[in-house]
Amino acid sequence: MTEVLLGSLVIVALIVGMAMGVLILQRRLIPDTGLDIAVNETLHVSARRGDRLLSALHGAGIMIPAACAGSGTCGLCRVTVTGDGAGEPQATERGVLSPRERRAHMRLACQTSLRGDCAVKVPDDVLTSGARFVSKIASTRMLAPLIREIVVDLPKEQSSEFRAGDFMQITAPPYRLDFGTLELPPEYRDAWDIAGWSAMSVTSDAEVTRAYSLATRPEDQGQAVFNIRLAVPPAGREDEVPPGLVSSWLFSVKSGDDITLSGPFGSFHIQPTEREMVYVGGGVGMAPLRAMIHQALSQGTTRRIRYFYGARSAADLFYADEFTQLADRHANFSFSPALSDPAPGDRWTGATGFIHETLRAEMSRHPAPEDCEYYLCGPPVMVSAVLATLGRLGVDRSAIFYDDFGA
Amino acid sequence: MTALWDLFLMAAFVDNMPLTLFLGLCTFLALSKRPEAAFGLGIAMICVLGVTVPLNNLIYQGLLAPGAWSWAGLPDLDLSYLSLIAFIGVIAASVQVLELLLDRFLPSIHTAFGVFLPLLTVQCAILAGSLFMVERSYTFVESAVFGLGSGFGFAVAVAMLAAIRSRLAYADLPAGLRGLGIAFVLAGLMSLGFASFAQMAAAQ
Repeated sequence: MTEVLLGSLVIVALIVGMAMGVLILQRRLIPDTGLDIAVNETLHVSARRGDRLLSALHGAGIMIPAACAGSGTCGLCRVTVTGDGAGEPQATERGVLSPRERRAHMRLACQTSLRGDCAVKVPDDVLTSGARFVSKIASTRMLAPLIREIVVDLPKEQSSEFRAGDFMQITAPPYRLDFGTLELPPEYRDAWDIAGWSAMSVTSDAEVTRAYSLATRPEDQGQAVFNIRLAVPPAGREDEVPPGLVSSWLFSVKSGDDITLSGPFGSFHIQPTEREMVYVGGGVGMAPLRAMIHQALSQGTTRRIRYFYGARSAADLFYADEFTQLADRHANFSFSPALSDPAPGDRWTGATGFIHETLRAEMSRHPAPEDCEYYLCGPPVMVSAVLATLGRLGVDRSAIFYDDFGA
Repeated sequence: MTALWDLFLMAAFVDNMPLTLFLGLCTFLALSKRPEAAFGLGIAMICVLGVTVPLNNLIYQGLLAPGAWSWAGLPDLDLSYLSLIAFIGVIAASVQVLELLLDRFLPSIHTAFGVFLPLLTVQCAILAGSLFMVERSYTFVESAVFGLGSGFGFAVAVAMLAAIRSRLAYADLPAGLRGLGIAFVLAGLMSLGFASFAQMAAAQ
């Protein structure tokens, strides 16, 4: 009995003693002082030692984009940091930043923990357009079983200018949603019930922000168009992986609802050259490519444009009519969709297989695939498969521009 | 003095943690891709083993060993069943303290360590150092030497593996062997090499 009693006492005393020791030492060694961050030499933000630079800037309303929510993988939160307060780049940053960027004091704001005062340089458009604003949803419609189009009326005072390929950040408020209560068009109801999505629910207790590419065409004046894919967990892992917090919320909103946005931001743009352009998209990778293709064609470009788009079945192939019409109207534009898994009822006569296979088949007949520019957007698997295919076709990486959803 | 030197060599080479005892292989393989990372890990191992083994020796001798409470009139009391949990606690706390000290006084080394220090909290080679200390009933001085020796052995092994792996970066390996595959093969070959140290110990 003494053994158990004394044993418990000893171990509890030991653990508590050590924890106290560590805490006291921490208080002694690491002073809890306020720091000053100078942003673009004009704005001053205060932070505490040990804070992440990204959260300090977000707290001050400077909405640096961060698609991966601070895990150091998307590389969108690049900022230039000078001063001792930022320390050396972490190993996570070395994977994302090039040696040239590191020499230029570029850091990932989400991986920089502050140790002292420092000066931060962010792009000017983040300071001006980075502020959040509230807008009204103009219309929504389902494009595919898991893809929804959301059109937002931008406020008059908010400049609706953007470059094709830009994205905006959408902030979802805390909410609770049962997927069973979503209004779905009858043709998608079966797919939802079979996959078990209708039975899922999602709860979010804090504001969450994610980035979505703009699919806006030039004729959508004063509006922002988004293609939202509902991020459902992989089949069989429904209990471990929750559905996407922002995409689920965007599936529940109706026209007339308020929506909080910031942006536009982006670095994925049409290059000002005269080279032939090849667009490769999959899933909601449609969005920025749609904006780019429409913009290029409406400006009367003479550059040859090819668009390869991969979907699973005909139900997932959205905006197809729109691109077929574009191809009829413009001699320099061609549209090649491919289905990886056509349903028996699709009566599909086009290409089948993954989109990189279609791309390889088409481009190996091209006289000089290495002289084209490639714009990719889609799920990370698609992007890596297409990069490998283009590598085999002899295309230099500097001619490939892509947006892999920050994954 | 020679006895202590022998103990150091034994801990570093004959009973090398990753290559002879196969302990701490996860960090050994994961952090041997680049020599700089391996060097950081090696230094961290020497520091942590060198601190935790003697510290755990004090705690074991003073509180947990059979007969440690005889001064209080409890000569039969044996709290050694608590060693595992106590050792892990001590390791976690000393890693934290080490991290704080580095953060405060040597921030550049702290950044160089990066994630390695917290990682070592749950590393089996670190815990094994303390458990061997109990099993072989080392004194305080012996356990300090043993801890430093084991850490040194780990550092040498991981630095060697990293050197070979970075050298192999230019080799044209079969696709299936690239990365972790060849690292396992290398570790196996190095382990065979280290087995010869056991012969030296046996010859003594």
